[in-house]
Amino acid sequence: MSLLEVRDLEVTFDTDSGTVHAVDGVSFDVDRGETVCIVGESGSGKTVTSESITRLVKEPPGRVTGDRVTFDGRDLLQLSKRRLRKIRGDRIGHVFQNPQGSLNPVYTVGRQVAEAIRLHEDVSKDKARERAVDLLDRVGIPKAGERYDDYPHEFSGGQKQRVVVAMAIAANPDLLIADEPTTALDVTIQAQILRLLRDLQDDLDMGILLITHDLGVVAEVADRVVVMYAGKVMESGDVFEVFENPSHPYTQGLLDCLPGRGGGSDGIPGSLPDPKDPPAGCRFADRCPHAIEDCRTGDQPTLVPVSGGDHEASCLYYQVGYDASVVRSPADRDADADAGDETFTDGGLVDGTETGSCDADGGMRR
Amino acid sequence: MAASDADERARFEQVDWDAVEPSGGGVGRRSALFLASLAVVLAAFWYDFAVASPDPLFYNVGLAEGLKEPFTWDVRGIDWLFSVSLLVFVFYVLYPMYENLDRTKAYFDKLTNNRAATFALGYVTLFFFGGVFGPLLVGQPSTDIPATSRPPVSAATPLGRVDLFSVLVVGSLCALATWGLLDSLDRGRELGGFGDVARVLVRVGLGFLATFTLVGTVFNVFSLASFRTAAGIAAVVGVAWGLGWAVRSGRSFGVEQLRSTAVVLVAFGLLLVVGIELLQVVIYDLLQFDPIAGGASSTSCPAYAEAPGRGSNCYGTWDYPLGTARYGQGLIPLVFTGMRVSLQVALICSMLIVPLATLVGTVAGYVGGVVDDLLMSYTDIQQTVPAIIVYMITIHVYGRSLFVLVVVFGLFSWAGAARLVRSEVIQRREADFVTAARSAGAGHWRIMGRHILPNVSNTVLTSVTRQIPNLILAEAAIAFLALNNIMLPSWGETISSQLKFIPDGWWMSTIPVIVLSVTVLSFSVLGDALRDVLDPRSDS
Amino acid sequence: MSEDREPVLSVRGLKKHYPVTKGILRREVGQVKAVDGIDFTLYEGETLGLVGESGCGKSTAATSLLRLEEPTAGEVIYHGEVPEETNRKTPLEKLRTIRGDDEAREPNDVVGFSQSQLKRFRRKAQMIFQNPTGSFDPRMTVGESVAEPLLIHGLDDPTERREITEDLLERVGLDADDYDRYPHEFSGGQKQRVALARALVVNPEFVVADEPVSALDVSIQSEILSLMRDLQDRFGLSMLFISHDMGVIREICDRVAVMYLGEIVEVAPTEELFRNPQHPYTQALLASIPTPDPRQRGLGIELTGDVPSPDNPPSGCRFHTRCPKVIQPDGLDLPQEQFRRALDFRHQVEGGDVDADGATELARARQSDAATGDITRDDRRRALRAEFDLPDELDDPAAEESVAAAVDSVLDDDLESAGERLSDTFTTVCEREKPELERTDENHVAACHLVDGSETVETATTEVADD
Repeated sequence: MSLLEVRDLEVTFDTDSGTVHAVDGVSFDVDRGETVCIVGESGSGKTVTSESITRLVKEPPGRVTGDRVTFDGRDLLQLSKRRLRKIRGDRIGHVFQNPQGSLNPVYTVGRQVAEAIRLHEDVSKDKARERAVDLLDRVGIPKAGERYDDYPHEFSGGQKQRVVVAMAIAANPDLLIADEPTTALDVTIQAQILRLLRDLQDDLDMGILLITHDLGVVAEVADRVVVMYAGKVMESGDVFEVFENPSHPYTQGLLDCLPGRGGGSDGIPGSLPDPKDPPAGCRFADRCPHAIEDCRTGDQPTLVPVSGGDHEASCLYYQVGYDASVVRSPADRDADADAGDETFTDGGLVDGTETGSCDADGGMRR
Repeated sequence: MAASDADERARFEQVDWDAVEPSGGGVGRRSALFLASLAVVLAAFWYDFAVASPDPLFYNVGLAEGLKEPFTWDVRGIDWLFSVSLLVFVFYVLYPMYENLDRTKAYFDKLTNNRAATFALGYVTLFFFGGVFGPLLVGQPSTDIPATSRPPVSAATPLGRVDLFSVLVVGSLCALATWGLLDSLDRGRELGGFGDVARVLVRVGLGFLATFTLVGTVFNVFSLASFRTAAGIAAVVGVAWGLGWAVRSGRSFGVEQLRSTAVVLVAFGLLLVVGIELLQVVIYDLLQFDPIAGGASSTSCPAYAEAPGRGSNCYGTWDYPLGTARYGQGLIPLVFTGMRVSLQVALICSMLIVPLATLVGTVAGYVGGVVDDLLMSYTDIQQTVPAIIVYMITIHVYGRSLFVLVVVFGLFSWAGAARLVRSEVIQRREADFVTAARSAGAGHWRIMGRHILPNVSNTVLTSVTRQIPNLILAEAAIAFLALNNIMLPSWGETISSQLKFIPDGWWMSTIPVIVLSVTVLSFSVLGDALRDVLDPRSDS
Repeated sequence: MSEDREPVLSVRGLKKHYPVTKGILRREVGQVKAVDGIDFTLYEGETLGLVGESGCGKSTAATSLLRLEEPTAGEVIYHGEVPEETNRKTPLEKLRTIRGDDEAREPNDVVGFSQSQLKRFRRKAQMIFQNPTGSFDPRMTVGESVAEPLLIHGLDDPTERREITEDLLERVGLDADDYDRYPHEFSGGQKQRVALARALVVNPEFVVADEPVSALDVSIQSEILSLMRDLQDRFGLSMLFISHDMGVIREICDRVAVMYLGEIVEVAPTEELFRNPQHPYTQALLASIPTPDPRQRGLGIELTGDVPSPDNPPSGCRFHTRCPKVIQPDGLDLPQEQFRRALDFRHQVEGGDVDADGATELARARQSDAATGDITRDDRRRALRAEFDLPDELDDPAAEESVAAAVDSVLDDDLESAGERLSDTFTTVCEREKPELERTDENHVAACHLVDGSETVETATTEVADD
């Protein structure tokens, strides 16, 4: 059994002008030592998904329902508020996008980290201080001993995010939920934080659920990927499968329009459907280049296996009775023709003029 | 739009910028109209002041027959100010609202989501019209010694005798309670069904009130006809409007509406019975606020309508529906004159506060630096001087008058609003759209006028609306401290002079107290609601 | 290719320093050198990218070259038709710009323009902002916002304004009816289209776009970028495109200038820069971008530390405090990484950020699991070295001797002699001398000591492997 199993999660918000279905039937697993990325654009419901796992969503107006959210054998949807709180810090750590907002400006960072330790462990103040210094050192704060007594505003953005990570791992959690942990940071600092998360994962054997909109980050750290759009899972599976065999037209569009490829994609025309009144059929149908009439009736197509492993896509073309080759990218069709021949040799394409694959950025630093 | 059409349209790359000659900005239509109206008022003022009667400005009509003090302001001074503030209100509040009807409607819809704010807005509207037209309609309160101390008109009911005023208050409370009760019982269907009926009724009522106010005022001022004629005309207009709306709106009025109305009326009736019973027990018996004048006031109450079996006690009559005060002034004229005074305080002070706060706040926030420091230090200092102290000093020179009161309170109450404006301006000054305007070549005046001011106007409006209750209360407090012009029948004056007749003559002070409280409460509620509705951060 | 085009704008030595003031008298106690002497030229019809991390001064550079903020020093030469001086500066204006050098300025220097000249210049130069929500007045319809520049520049006929605006709204992919709608009714991407319309409406010669797509989702980004490209081609616009996102830069720019801490460190044609970055900072920046290819993991060159504060930038090459390829002195022969660490150690000692107590605390934290043994001097030594990732034994004997002595001095709380000891051994030309922008190729310049003649960036450091 996986560490975290989310089945059919639904989150709605009641607003003055109607009920918003932010998350609508999302399922995925996270294992120990594994990094799962939920990727999607703004409004896709990825943040709400991550927050509703430990019920950080404000209820009301929010409402979290679903089949089950099992963490280490216990269904979090059934737990009392008190026990949830215990799990929240002890077993599941959270890192948020904005490190500024996660730290209290009136306490020293050391005290805040020590506080996080003492919340979950009955240790003396001195011991907590020692542990806090150790933690700060571990997340790469230079001169942790001296910086213990500094206030958050004396830290740079990257360092603050390190402190937040230190607080999140204070109780050696089994699962770390990181919601856009690097979006507010510069690329060189982002690389530092991603590296830190990876190292910590190796040390602690944590599962990491990383929420991001950046496919580059996904490719860098993910083991498995969940692509969300308008509250639904469009595609999920092993990171290699998803990036090399993007099967859902939305994923293909996303990868195609990554800037810097030089190809000059025109993006995905159109905009998100109204979350208060989602259209029938596939949520992506209105923006999909391959959409046919059948896509606009019924429910979102179920996730069906599209290639090896647990790679699944929620697209009508993969259902029985439709021609899946319509939505496969040309590269995949070649791959199919080559009968499983590995088309992806070790990266490093030079110019980024190739179409159909998204390794142009890879080429640019050679 | 057809393609051929598009070809003929002006396009930006065709503009020959070397040939463009800016003609310089003119005065907008609104400003032109405002200036013209202002000129008319000023001309009338000059005529009154210089030609018709050179002295009335410096001679207190209220105390005219008594003290002929040279340096006391005439009540007329305040009337001129009031006219100007009405002009400002019309041209800079109502006219923009009319101009941006869509936005006004959006704000109105948002405001009516808040039930309390809806009532507050309704009351404030009544307050405004009552203050402007009320005194014209019902006349000034005049002394009528034989009619002294009459209670509000009352009637015998199976539940005991009740007076008109208490019934009005209890009835309003019961209406609210009915709504709340049905709402909490989740009887949305009934409320919905009744809603249509209520909408018609509200329109009938509004039509009646508006017509009656206007026609009645004209009839009264020019002595053309009686109130009855006015009421008749108003009733016809009101009913016509209500029914006309019912037909036009295409709503069906059938069994469903009838049923709902019946349910609502039954609920209301039940609550009213309970309310009147409570009134009997708590107000009449416990507090001895009797609808029949007794005790001390009964001795002065001639037996014009003696209660059978109760000696010389007497009831009120329809001559004075809400009763009279100690010197026989009708409570209705007292209430409306007080309303006029409060409206004058509210409007004239706002007219002084808004430009001052906006000017100081905008200059401080936009220019910044030393100017900001100096202006804000000054506001700090001014905030430490209570306006009431300044008022007490000023009346030693100019005598007690409402004119001095509004001017002093207007000139000394803008500091808080100015601070709010300043912080808002500082935020806006850094906004990208201001930089965008600058990069387009806009000058400072244009940025202030077109971008900063419209965006801080909500802040000023909210802040002033929240300041108004304080000002009205301050006026009442000054009356209570006997620092006012005692011949001016404001609510505060009436309350303070009639309070000593409780409980025998309870209506003399209780009625103005309740009207004053409702006014203050309404402005507070409205101010809070406006802050939420107009908050630019909730716009997106 | 850009050399044979006409220049539109040349920026020379542009500086913008913000004073740091204190107290009510606003006494100046320091300066934030947001932009500290940058030079570049924008040619007709090209898109020049200005790229850098947050706080490197790229946005300040944009606002000061448009004189939305008064630059502290430098020239911005506008090569277009210079509007005639219609009225001399008012005394107040003169008072406000106490630079004194205005008389000596060239007539086509934007910094020396009078207010009326500036207003004419603003018609030629437009700007697009990052935040699509903040850049529109919430109380104006988008039509009014787009038409405002027309009104400002004297197009008094409302019908004509409306026609122009509606036509332009259609041409950026919106609807003429959108004229009467308010900004909050539009999505971010649509608002950026309106922003483009507003920038184009006065038919400018060049546009400064400050992170125009950073706030948008990727699927919208490419839409806007391709629209910008189309419009630029159609109207022959020049564009200064500011971004922190290398992918976006690569998508739209012809040339790229890389900024670090208020200075330009490298300028090159886009493909050239991505293929053959010369400056170590550019290399690190490019390497840090996560690639959307799971088979190419590894976050490239690790840059240690944070960007230094611009109120007290490092001497010499500003990047030397973080540069993985910082040049060793002649006497030393350390692996590059060890030299980098030793330099870090030296900076911290000199900054007084290290002391004996700190070392003790570190040592205790390191052995917190292993019972309560006493902390020996050796433990503290090791802890200190570990803190700076220094191996127990450096590869160069002279360096080792110096580090060992310094560590001991630190443990004796004698930071001064420790600092002296280290600064004798670990010196670098990067700290002493400021590198000039040097030409490495026809259109390629970079400011790094490694970039000249025999020694190239590639040969100097091959050891810094991917992490």
